[in-house]
Amino acid sequence: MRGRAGRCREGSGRRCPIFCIIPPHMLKEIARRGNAKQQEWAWQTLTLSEQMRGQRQALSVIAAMGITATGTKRRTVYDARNRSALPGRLVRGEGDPKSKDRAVNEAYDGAGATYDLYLKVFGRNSIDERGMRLDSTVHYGRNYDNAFWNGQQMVYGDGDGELFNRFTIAIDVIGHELTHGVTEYEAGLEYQDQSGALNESFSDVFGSLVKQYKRRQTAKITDWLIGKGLLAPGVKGKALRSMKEPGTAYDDDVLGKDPQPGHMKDYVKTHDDNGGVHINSGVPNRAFYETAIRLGGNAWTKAGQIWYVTLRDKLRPASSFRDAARWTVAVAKDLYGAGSLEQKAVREGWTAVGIRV
Amino acid sequence: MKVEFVRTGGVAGVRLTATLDTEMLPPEETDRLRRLIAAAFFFEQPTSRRSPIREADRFQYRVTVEDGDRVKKVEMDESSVPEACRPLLDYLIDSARTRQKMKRS
Repeated sequence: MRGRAGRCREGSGRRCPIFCIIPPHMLKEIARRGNAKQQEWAWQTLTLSEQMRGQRQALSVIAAMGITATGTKRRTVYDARNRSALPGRLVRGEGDPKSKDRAVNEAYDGAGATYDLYLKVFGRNSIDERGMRLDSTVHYGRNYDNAFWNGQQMVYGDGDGELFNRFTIAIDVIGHELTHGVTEYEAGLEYQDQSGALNESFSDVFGSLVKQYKRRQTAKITDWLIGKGLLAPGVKGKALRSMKEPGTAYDDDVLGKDPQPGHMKDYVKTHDDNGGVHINSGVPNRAFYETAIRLGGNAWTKAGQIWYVTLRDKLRPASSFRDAARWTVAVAKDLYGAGSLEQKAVREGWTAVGIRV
Repeated sequence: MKVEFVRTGGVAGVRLTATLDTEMLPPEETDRLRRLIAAAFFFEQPTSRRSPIREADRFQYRVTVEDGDRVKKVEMDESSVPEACRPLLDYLIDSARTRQKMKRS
């Protein structure tokens, strides 16, 4: 295995068949689950392919992997100063005092809250399970109405002020972005159609759990909204999405009406948005809500655990809603027993959105 | 000349659209738009610039230009936008926002 990786390095690099054939998510899986030799080979290959893509930062992250003990939180926040070069100027590192810039502090605190949920509730050592440093860039672009995970870091815009406020304002949006990282390292859900909508839904589920856990809110009292506070004053709406009642988050002259379905019968077929990944995520989002509300108490304890194990161990890049339904029911059985209340709640959660398993 | 612009995706999943018709635009805006389209090599662009790696929560752009006999539609992922097209996209985004403001007031 080592020899193969070695040969790649010596070659011209560009045409190495191993890089092209084995997708990164699979390599990452081998790097985590393989035997010692396989792990080493996978890390070498990953490192080389990152190098080929010219992503030096990823390299440094990978180099640091495996040596960061569980529980070591390492956050860095950069300021793009309204340009689009990443990562920008370093403005706050781990343990540094608060900045005068609230976007910097929100990015820092939100990354911390996300890290804490994954570590304390799910026993996960950062995004990649190897203590990855959490990098964020704020003030990205000019009036930029978005936040995203680019495979290595989080990026937040300031919003345009007319429709959206700054994107660090909502802690669940921060959890949402970081969870895209987790999904990339685990199930690797393809960002298209149903697998893409599942990818989005897992980000909303764990984004919401970051908020609920931070505020110690039970399933019953939490609002199940995603991105509350993000809509600018004057916009008619509460948030970006509602997991409890998809399609009700906003209804505004300019934004239009929240297009999310909460049931399979209303599934939206569209070419836009990679097949409506931000639209159809309403269906699995509500399945999670329906499960959590049936189980009561804190959503992260049982429903969250079932969804986390499913994302980590069961789902694959092309998984569908039905696959997610089947696997969450199976995981509930593994964790809590056949015919348990938990298994029943998960099955009912999916039935409520039109998916019978 | 007619230009249709649609932006989809993003973490908010909200569409942003604009339709510009040079017959309705002041001459200086028409000139500006024509210069931006020329500078973007719009009619020479491939019809699809999808990124091989789909980054989560990024925007997708769709621009259609109808100019006399020529009609061209170009789709681009945010992470695959060539430098030459950026000023045109920024202009169209600003136009869409201005239209939104008018709608609000």
